[in-house]
Amino acid sequence: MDRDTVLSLYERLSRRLLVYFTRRTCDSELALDLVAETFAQALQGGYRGTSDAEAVAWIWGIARNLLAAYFKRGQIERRALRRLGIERPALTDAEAARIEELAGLGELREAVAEALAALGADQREALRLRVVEELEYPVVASRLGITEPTARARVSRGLRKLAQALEGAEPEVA
Amino acid sequence: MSGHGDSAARTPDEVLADLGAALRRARPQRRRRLARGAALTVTICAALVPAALAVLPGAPPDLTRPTGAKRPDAVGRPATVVTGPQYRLIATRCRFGGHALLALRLEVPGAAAGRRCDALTPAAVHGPVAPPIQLVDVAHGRSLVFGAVPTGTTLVRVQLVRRATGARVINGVFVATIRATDRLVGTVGFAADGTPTVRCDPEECA
Repeated sequence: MDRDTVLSLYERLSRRLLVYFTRRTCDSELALDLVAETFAQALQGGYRGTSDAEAVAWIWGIARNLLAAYFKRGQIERRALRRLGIERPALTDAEAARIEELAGLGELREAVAEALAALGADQREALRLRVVEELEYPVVASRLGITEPTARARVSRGLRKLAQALEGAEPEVA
Repeated sequence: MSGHGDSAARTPDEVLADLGAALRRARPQRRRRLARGAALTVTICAALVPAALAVLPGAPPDLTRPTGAKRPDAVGRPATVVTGPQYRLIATRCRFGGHALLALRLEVPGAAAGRRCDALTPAAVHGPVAPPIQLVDVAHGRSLVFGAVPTGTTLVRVQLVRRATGARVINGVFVATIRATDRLVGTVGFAADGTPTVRCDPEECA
């Protein structure tokens, strides 16, 4: 994909990606970093497809991979930004708040809080151990005094319910 | 959108426009490709380095070291720390000031991979341990992932593309046998109580 195509995709997709990342990290600064790294990686090339739909899917693929890597490591990858010498714009508190407002973060927090409250105590505790404390499933199972498959099932069902709550609260972004 | 009491604050679209301008200014640098002659020289030098080290005291040519690699203050004696089916893992202790870490080398029949104390990247030197390595052992149709872990680590989760596997820690190191076609994404070390002790990708650990 040539440079102009990447920049044109940036014009089309950056707003949606900013909302996507903000809603999943709950942090507008991190979200802007992730948008920047997504397109920095795209500028570095590697795309082999031909159609517009494939190009869009490729950008979203980079975005999802970066988000997954962030969740896994707890820090954002910035290799492409460093390599290209790109400085992403700094945000003031007011600008960060505007991005969070665009992403509907307030409503999202309410939706997550409601969904968490609606979970059973067992599922909520399993989610806390696995997602917040990042414990391995055998450890989660041991802490809760249940088998590993049961621990996996509780976390999986809890996550599914939260995901349904988030989908219901997803805003429309032009 | 202007209810935040700061009229000078940019809107999200204006912030994105600024980021777009920064992306437009960036010029991707083409990765330098060595000319065929130079590549041949590098290959020959790399092949000769162990022999040169055996004969001549001192450091190997800078050509074979990553940019910014520091020379260690002290290097220990290489010692075999783990052996397994058709492999042997050798560790060398490298000291950089008050920080020490292991440079590992895995040998299989006909092939080897590893790190040298004087050829560690700055990121590797500053991390708690050197990043893990994947050696594709073509002769035996397998790959071996190996690395060092911080004290207190008992288990390592080896994250591969689309799957993960576990490896036990022995003598402060681990070796995981995986399929030749698997690709290493990273590793996470865990203490006995399940607390993560280290997270690594193939370039750095934290």
